[in-house]
Amino acid sequence: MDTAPVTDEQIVAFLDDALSSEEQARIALAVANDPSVAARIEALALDRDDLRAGFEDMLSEAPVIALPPEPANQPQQPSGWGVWGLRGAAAAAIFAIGIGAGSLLTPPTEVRNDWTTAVADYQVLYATETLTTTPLSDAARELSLARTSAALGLDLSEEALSVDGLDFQRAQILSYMETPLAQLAFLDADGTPFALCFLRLDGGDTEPRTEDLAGLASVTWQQDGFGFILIGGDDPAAVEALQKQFAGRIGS
Amino acid sequence: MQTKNDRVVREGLPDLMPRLWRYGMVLTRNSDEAAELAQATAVRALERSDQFQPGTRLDRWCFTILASIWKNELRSRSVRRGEGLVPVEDAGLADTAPHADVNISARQVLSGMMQLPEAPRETMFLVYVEGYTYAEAAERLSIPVGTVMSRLANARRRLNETMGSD
Repeated sequence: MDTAPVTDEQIVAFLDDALSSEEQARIALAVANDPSVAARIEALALDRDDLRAGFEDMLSEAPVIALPPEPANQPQQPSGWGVWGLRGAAAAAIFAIGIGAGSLLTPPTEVRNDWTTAVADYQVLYATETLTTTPLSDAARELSLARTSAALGLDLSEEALSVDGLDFQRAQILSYMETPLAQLAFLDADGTPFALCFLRLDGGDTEPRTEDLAGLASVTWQQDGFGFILIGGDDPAAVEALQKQFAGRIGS
Repeated sequence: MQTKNDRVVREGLPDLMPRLWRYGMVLTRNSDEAAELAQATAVRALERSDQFQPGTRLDRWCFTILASIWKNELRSRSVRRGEGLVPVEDAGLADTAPHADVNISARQVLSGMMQLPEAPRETMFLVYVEGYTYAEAAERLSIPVGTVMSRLANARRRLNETMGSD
């Protein structure tokens, strides 16, 4: 049996469960038999959950950072991807955020028809993995929704978003032409990404309009001073059915 | 010509940006510099997307690029300007809007860690926040595993001393 003195490094590795099982057992024995080792454990303690929680929260402080736009003149591809090259500038406007504190609740002065195109160009980049590789904790997801709701001035709870057929993943504040734009991301049972996006838009309520945008099925409508788009997959009937659920919950 | 790798990198980057910024915060302790570092990393990652191996982790690949840009290009500039060396309280993190879901001890441990010197701070972040194993952290930082262990032990001891003296 190894009776060498236990170092601080070994204690930390023991606490991190990073030693071989033999070494783990040796340190555990030392902890049980030597009060001085137990005292050193206290001096080296770390609440990793606290540390992670603090850093998890930091993510919500991250500024939106512009990505370089797609190079122009990309060869057209059969998938919806090709449109990105043509409309790269419009879609890049979504990344290039300019939310000043004063602009957060300022409605746009004119109806902008092409925000839905920018959303579609963004959404077409989403794959299942986009939402599954870095899943949010329950708390972070709720926080993302609370902040997005507050920024747009539209009160939405996770309950209101729990429509049949879609799982809510997270909310983000994007920006279109310096107007805050909410993006609520969902996955359906097959892992197909969907998004419900909205921004403040002048004008009265409109009937839902179904159209193909960037190769994705979408429904666009206006309700309660907001413009909405629900987009994802390639089945117009499915998106229309989901839109009816959302419209009913938003209005209630 | 757009390659498959380019597409994988481009599609993965938007979701990674907050984590790249956060790693940048750990290194620079300055939000603007962290944003600049994250953006430079994204540009570099796209330029070098042909070097990314599909099936490996895009986040780890980007972290390596970010650390390289920081150490080789931006850090000396920040030190010269006397920036990037401010306590977290001054970096605008601790005094942002109160978050009901983050408890006080989480704030304290975050603040305490951000006041540690860069080497232990970065090592702790990689292992305890981004989930690197000791061996992975050693490889990423180009140091022996024993050095990773001693950095963690020193960092934890200092963190407890700091928090105990508050």
